[in-house]
Amino acid sequence: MLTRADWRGEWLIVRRHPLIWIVASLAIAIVALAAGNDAAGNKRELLESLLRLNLFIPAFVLPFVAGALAPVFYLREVDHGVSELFAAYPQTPRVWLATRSGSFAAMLVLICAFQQVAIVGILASDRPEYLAMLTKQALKLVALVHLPASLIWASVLAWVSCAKGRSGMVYLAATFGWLAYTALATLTGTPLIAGSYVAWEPLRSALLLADPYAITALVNPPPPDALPHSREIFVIVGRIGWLGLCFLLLHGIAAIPALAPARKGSAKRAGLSLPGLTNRSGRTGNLALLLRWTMLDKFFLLALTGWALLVFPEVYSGMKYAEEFSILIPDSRDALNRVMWDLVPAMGALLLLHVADRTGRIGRVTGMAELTAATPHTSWRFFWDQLVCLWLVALTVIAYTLLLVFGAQLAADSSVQPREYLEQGGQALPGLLLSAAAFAALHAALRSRMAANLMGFGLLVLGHSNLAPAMGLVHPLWKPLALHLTSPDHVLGLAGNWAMLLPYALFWSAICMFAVILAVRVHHRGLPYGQVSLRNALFHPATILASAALAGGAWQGLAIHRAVESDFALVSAEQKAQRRADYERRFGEWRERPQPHIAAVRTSVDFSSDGRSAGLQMELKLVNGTNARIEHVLVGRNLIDVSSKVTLESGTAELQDLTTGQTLFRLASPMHPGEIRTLHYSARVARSALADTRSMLILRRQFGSIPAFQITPVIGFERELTLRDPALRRQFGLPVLALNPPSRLGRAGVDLARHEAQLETIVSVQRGRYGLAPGELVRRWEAGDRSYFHFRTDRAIRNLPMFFALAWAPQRWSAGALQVEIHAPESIAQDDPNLLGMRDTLTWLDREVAPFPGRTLRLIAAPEFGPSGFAVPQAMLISHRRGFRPKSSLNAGFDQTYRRAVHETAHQWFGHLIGYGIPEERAFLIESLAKYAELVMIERRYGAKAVQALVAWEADRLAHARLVPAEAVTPLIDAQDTEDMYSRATLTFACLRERLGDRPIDSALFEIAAYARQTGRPARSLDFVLALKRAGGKESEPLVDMLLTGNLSIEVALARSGCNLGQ
Amino acid sequence: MLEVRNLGKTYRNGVNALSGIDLSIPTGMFGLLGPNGAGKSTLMRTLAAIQLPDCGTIMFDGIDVLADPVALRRRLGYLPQAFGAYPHASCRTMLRHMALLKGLADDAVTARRIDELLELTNLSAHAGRAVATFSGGMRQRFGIAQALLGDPALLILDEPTAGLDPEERMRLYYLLSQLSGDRVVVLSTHIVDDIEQLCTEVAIVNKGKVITRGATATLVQDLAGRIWESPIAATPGSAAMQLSTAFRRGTPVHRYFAESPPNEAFVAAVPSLEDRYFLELKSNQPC
Repeated sequence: MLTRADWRGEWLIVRRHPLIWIVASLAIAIVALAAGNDAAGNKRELLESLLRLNLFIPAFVLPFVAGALAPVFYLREVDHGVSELFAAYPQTPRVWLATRSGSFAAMLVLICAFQQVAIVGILASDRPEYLAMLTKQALKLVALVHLPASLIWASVLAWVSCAKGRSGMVYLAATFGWLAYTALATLTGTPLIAGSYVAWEPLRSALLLADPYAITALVNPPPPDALPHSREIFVIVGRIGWLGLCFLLLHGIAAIPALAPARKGSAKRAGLSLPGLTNRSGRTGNLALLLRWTMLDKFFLLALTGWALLVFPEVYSGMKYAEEFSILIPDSRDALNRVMWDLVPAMGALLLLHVADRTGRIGRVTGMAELTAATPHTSWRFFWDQLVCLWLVALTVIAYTLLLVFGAQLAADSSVQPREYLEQGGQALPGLLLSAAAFAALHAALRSRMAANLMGFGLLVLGHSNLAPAMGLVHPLWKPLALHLTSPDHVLGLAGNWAMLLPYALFWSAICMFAVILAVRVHHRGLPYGQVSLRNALFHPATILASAALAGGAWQGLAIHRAVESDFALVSAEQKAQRRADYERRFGEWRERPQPHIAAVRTSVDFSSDGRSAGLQMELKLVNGTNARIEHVLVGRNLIDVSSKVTLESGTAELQDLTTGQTLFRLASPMHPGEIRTLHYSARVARSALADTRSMLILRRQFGSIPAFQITPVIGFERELTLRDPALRRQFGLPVLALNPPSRLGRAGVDLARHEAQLETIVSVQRGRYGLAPGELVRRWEAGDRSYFHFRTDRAIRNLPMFFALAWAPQRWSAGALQVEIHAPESIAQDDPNLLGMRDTLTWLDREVAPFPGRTLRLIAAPEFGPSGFAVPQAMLISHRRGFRPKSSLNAGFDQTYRRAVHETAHQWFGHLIGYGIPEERAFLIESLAKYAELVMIERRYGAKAVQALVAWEADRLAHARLVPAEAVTPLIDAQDTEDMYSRATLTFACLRERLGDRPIDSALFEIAAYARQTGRPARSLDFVLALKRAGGKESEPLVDMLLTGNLSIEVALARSGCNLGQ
Repeated sequence: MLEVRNLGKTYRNGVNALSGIDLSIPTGMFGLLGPNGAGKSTLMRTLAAIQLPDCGTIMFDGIDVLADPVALRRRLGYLPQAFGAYPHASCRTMLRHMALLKGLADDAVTARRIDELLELTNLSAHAGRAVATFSGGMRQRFGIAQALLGDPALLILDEPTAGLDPEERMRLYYLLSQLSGDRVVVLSTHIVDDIEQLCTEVAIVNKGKVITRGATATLVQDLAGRIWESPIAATPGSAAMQLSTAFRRGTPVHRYFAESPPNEAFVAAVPSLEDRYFLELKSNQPC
């Protein structure tokens, strides 16, 4: 029977353990930080944020908290050698177990509760009216998610502690539990993990009940045929099952090591009494001893087994994956990419931290510290042995991983490229070697084992997570020991990683060398006493060496800083928002002032031979399209910072605001209506080897792309560059933005001509490469080692120019009177889905909606730059990995490559012909109409069954996108959430097609395109709605209203409309 | 010769472990006697250059120990108060490992020396067993063996007999008596008998200070004729100083220090080092 004294006794000890407070504070701080970065506006978004943060806790925080604290509760007697003492006390094993597991679970729940206080406090700080609602919901989540999850961890770790009796095993179990759950979550499409997908539907269905944290049931709707049809019932039944398992686990604990007399012979305890270890001929050198101590340890062997269980299935099942319904023919790069750039660096470092602890504390653990410390074996040699041991472990980790990947490739019958193994292994190894040096230095310098491990873990978390950027520390050197390497794709290859590796490795090597020299100087030799006085430590030749290393590191750090600064990559999101706020505050009045617009742009762009920079010379013709005289022209910075110079014909720079990048020109003589002035703009666009390539501005030898529309100066006040997020506007003291939603928008008085320009460009590239710009290729010539490409648009088009330097010659086809060009490393076949998609869509929209404003549409295979596709006028980028390399999987009902090509082609109309010019408009005229194009084209090319598959896929995506089911929804034309713009739009248009057919929709599209063309005014979403109602007839009006401007949920709307979407 | 001058050490919790220790320790067996918490282990670790003092100097054969601890360690054999062993290593493997750490070559000469030490410490029969499985006495003998590796000129033994049964203690006395020769052996203990049996010179420390030092025989001889014992304690207020109360087969034996017997019940007793030890502790107690 448990008494109050049992609990008080437990609390008396636990509360004095610093680890409890350190871990609890960190866990709460991390969650608070995540909450601070999770912007939420309305009630639904707040509830979604609350849910998302609460699901983040068990998935990513709780396992570490539980793992770190479990030994304090279950193994403190064993760890401190007092189990014999406590075994003699009259506490029964059952009482001991109940007290410990109860206190441990209570501590975990308490930490979760404080996390709730932080989350609710932060979320409700902007919206205090929702405090009660959030508190109630948080309490519910504590009861449904955190309490059971805490009990599960308390039971599992009690079992592991009692079965194994070693803290190391507890850490391993917690890490394995975290990894296993992450793997499961990745394979079941959880919204918590970017890039996760449903690999196997039965697994997801099973996890609706079997998910230990109930995340699957909370983020997925119950299956339609499930009884009962309620998330809560699934959650509760699942929890009951898990609690039953916990009871069985606790009941099955046979012996409690903390209450057992200390076992004689720690060889047995360490599990190292293997044959051959006590033989007389064994090597006795310190390094050999450390290697044996490390590698023959049960923990290490189990870790290697766990490693294999993680790596092999991940590579075997994942290397073919491109996206849902698309598979690759994988090579070694695909296979290695699955593990080498996330799992290996982070988990390898974690393993090395354990090994550093084990080797650094061998003397204390075995009681040999004083014996060995009193020998003349120098601290340097002790350290060196430890470091070499760690390096050998790092090498083992890399070699073992490569071997596992190789095995997975062989098992999957995938082609193997040995060079890829050497290169990726060679790139991944330095990071682990540096981590090893840093952890060894920490353990050598710090006498407190806990402090060394906590600092090591801190370095690991900061270096391998986005915690630093989330805290506003955007400098890459805030990520300790990080070499910033990424998965190489098949366009940019491994060269980017090699270029990145050297500067960062040099910097961190110098820092590690400094740390190592200091650590050796103050090495504790395994003893709890300092071995050298501060004076002796400082006045020693080694200090000079350490200082030299530090100076070298500072020098290299400065070089990195300059490179990153030159890339303008040190501006945090907060600073960017501040700039935008300043821009609006200082220049907002220019919104109403008459300003000229850009009517024509002549550009000369020279990509350098090394591909790292480009010179831009622009001549912009500014036209006064207003009815007023213009005496001042405001010229400002665009989205991308570059070093530039701007001059205006007969204009004098009267004011320069460096913060917001605005220059105010006073004209010598005013611009009269219709008058033209020339603006000269020159810029040097450069990107260092350290620049991130996950953006549209890529400057590499293999691929160059310059989004000039984000660089060209902005004339007048640009509303697109102001802050829209209500919370940010409040934060920076800006007035509430009163924008009418598209469903309540009046006719716009904007002139579309202000967004259009005649473009003429000469692109110069290294000979053998190909330059691209908007318009038709007028002329091409060679001079010296340069090739020149002269492009010109036939007429003014939407002014969003983008320039490219490519390694691939165009592959040309016709699409009716139009021409299609594809730039890709592969040879494109006649039946290539990209080609089919482009041709089909061009032909259809050119005929049915409006003529294509040009003669050539270009498709470019792009590196992994972020989105899978992006369209600018007359050109589109599609990810090479997701758009060119894959083929349809066996279970695919439609072709993703074809779908994407149709979607991006459709943006030539929906986005670049209509859908721009009105700041209040949202994505309906762009993304939702492109989804309509997908439906039409897929049906025409592949038939009704393929469309049904597409609709089913989007219905599934929509069902899983909403963490909190919405009772009422935003009208589709007002929608801002991606699941609405894409998935709901697909279902909506599928229903409209089913009920009305394509003719009225096409007719409506034709009408709004014609309106824009004829009036020069942008069409609104409402114009499309009205046109559709006209084209569909009187009887279509309720349906159109309900689906496009109504606020019924799509399920209800579909049911009321009578659409069955082919089911 | 080991020379210690003005050695001081105060721990962070305020405990003054060493307070101006001055010692000159000649060749031979030197005993360091003191109660628990007197600062013996701190002094021993400091002499072994594995713990830094706050002040003072230590010189051994021209080596400034604090400035160059590695030079001392090349000539040092150290047996700490308590130590463990690697779980997987046999006694011989451990000795080879320690020999390598001491800078000895991993060759036949070292192997022979290890055999000799195993023989000397009577561990030859157990050379293949893991040290972790040894009894307390065997472990201490292993400790002596490892300390003797490299033929050290300075041997520091911190409470080598703690926890040993009488037979093991006798065996250890025999072993230690063979070691002194031409090296400095510093033996720390709180067991007076250890010193009396082994050491020619002794220092008594208490509260971090040396309260007396000298030849063991002289320290005892000084008390001749001034130690009295009786089964009945002297009346309070007597001028005699009570040194100890022991029991002999259940009967109390009170020993006093005085120039004359405290009363007629007292008889003269043969003085021992223990009497001197208690006398020094009591004489140096704060009022």
